[in-house]
Amino acid sequence: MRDSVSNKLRVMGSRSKLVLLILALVLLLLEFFVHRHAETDIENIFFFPALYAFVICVAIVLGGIVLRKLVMRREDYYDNG
Amino acid sequence: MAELLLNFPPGLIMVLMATPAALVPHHYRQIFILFVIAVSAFSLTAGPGIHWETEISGFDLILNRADHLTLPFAIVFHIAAVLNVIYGWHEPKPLEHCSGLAYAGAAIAALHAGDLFSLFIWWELTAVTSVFLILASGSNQAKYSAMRYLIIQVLSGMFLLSGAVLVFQDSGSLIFDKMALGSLGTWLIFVAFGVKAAFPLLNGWLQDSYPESTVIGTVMLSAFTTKLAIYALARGFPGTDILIIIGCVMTMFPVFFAVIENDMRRVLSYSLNNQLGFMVVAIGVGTELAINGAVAHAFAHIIYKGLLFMSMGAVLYRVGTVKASELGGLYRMMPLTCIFCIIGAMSISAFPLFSGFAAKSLIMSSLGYEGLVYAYLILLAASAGVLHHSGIKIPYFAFFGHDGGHQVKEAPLGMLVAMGIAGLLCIMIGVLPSLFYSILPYQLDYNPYDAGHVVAQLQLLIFSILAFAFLMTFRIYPPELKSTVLNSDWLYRRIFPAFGWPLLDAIVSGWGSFLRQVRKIVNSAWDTIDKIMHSSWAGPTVSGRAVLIQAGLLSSILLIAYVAAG
Repeated sequence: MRDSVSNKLRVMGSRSKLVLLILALVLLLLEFFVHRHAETDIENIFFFPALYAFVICVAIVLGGIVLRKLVMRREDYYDNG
Repeated sequence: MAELLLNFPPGLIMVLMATPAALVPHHYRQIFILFVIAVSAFSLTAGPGIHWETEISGFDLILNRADHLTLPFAIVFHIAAVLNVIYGWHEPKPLEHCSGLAYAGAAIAALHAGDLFSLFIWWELTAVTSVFLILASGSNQAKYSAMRYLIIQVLSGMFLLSGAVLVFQDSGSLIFDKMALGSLGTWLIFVAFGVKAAFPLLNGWLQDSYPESTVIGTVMLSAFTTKLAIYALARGFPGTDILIIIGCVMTMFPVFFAVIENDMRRVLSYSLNNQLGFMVVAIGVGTELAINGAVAHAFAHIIYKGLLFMSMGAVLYRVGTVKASELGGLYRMMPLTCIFCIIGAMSISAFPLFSGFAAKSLIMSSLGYEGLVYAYLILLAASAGVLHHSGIKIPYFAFFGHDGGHQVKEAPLGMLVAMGIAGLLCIMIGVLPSLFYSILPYQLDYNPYDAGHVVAQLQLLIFSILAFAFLMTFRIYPPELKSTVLNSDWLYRRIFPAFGWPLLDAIVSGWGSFLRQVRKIVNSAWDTIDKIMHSSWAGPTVSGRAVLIQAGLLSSILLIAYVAAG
C-alpha cells in the first residue's frame, strides 16, 4: 500500500517536472514575441524575471542552509520556557 | 432603532454580545454569532463621516469615524469573522467562539476609533480577548507562549498610550490622523504600531504564539491584529520613508526562516510577516497608488492567508500534527482541503487570475513609478521567496512529497465550506479586479492584466518552481528536520533571562547586604544610647526605646512649632 503510494508520488513528481520544463520553454519563446511591461530599466535585460527568480530561489535555499547552522536547535530547546 | 444601529460603532455590538453568546447552546450559538456580525456590518452602510462622538471628562472621544480607508478593512474584517464562525462550526465549546467574536469586534471598533485614546482602548482589548485563543490550546507550551504574547501586546498598548499623552501635550488634540515622525510622542506611537505590525526584531511574538493556538484560534489570530496595525500605519504614517526600508527587511528575512522551519503553521507565520512587509513598503511610498496597493494587499491577504491557515488547521485537526517531517501524501485522503490549499498558495504567490496578483501588482507598479529600483528588486526577490515557502513548501510537504503513512478522513463540513468560500473570494478578486479596486481608498484607473505584465509574472513564478524542482532533484533542498528555529523572541526567552536573572540576583542580594549594614549601624547606635541611659552618671532617664522615640518626636514637634511661631 505504502509502496504504491510512494510510487504514485514519484510518477506525479516526474510528470510535473516535465510540465514545468515545457512551460519554461513556452515562456522563453514568448520572451521573443511579447514586450514585457518593464517598470524599471533593469527589467529590459533578456529574460530578466525568469533568471532573477531562479537565482534568488537558489540563493534563498543556500542562505537557509547557512542559517540552519546558526539558529537551528533541538526540538525541545525552550523546554516550555 | 434603525438609526441607532446605523450610527452605533461597528464591532462594539460584537464585543458586547461575546459573553451572552457563551450561554447559547452550540449550533444556535454559531447562528447567533453570525447574526451579531451581520448587525455590526449593517453600521458600515452609514457611509463616510463621524457617526458617534461622546465626551468624557472634557475629552472628545470619536467612537465611529468611517471613511474610505476604514471601509475596505472593515469589510474584510467582517468577512474574516464570518469565515471563522463557519470554519469552527464543529467545535461545541464556547471559549474560542466567544473570545474570537470579542476579538474581531475589538479590531473592527479600533478601525473606527477617531481619536488616539479610544484607539488605545480597542488596541488593548484585541490583546486581552485574543490571548484566550492561545490559552485554549491547553498545553503548557501554549500557556507560556500566551503570557509572552500578552506582555508584548499590552506593552505595545502602553507605548501607544504614552505616545498619545505626549502628542496631546504637544498639540492639544487627540485626533488620530496623519502624523510626522519627530517628537518622542509620535515615535512611541510608531513603535506601538511597529510591535503589532511585527517589524523586524519586534516580530518574535508572532511566530512564537500563532502556531501555539488551537486549530480555529490560529485562523482567527491571523486576520486581525497585524492588519489592524497596517491600517494604523496607513492612517498615521503614510509616506514615511523609513517604512520602505523596514518593509524591505520584513519581506526578506522571514523567507530564510520559512525555508528551514518544520512546523507548517510557523512557516505560515513567517510568510505572514513577509506579506506585512509588502504592505509596510507600500505605506512608506505613500502615493495614492501605493496606499491602494497596501489596502488591497491587506484585504486579499486576510482571505488567502486565512485560507492557508484553515487548510493547515484542517490537517492538524485530522492528522494531529503539522510538522512537515511527519506529513506527506495527504492529497488522496483530503482532496478538497488540498485543492483549497493550492488555491490559497496560488493566491499568495500572485499567480495571474488569483487575488494576490491583483493586489501585489499595485504595490510593484507604485515602486516602479516612484523609481525605487532597490525596493522593487527586493520585493521581486521576496515574491519569488513567497512562492517558494508558501506557494510550494506548504502544499508540497503536506499533500505530496513523501508518503507520511497517515489514514485520515477529509476535513469536517464547516471547515470545507469556509475554505470553499475563501477560495472563491480569492479567485473572484483575481478575475474581477476592477470590482475589487472600486472599494479601495482612491479611485484609480489600473489594469494588472496586460500581456507583458502577465508574462513577466509567469516567468518569475515558473522559474521559481523550476528552482525548487532543481534543488529537490539534486537533493540540495534542506531536508525537513524536527527542530526549533531561533527567532527574535530568543532575546527575551534566553538572552535577557541569562543576563537578567544574575543581574536581579545581584540587585536583590546587594540590597539585602545594604539593609544588613544599616541594621548593624542602627543596632550599635541603640546599644550606645542604651549604655548611656543605663549608666549611673546619666541620672534619672526614661525607660525603654519606645518611650525614648516618643520623647524625641514630641521634642522635635515642639521645636518645629517654636520655629514656625517665632
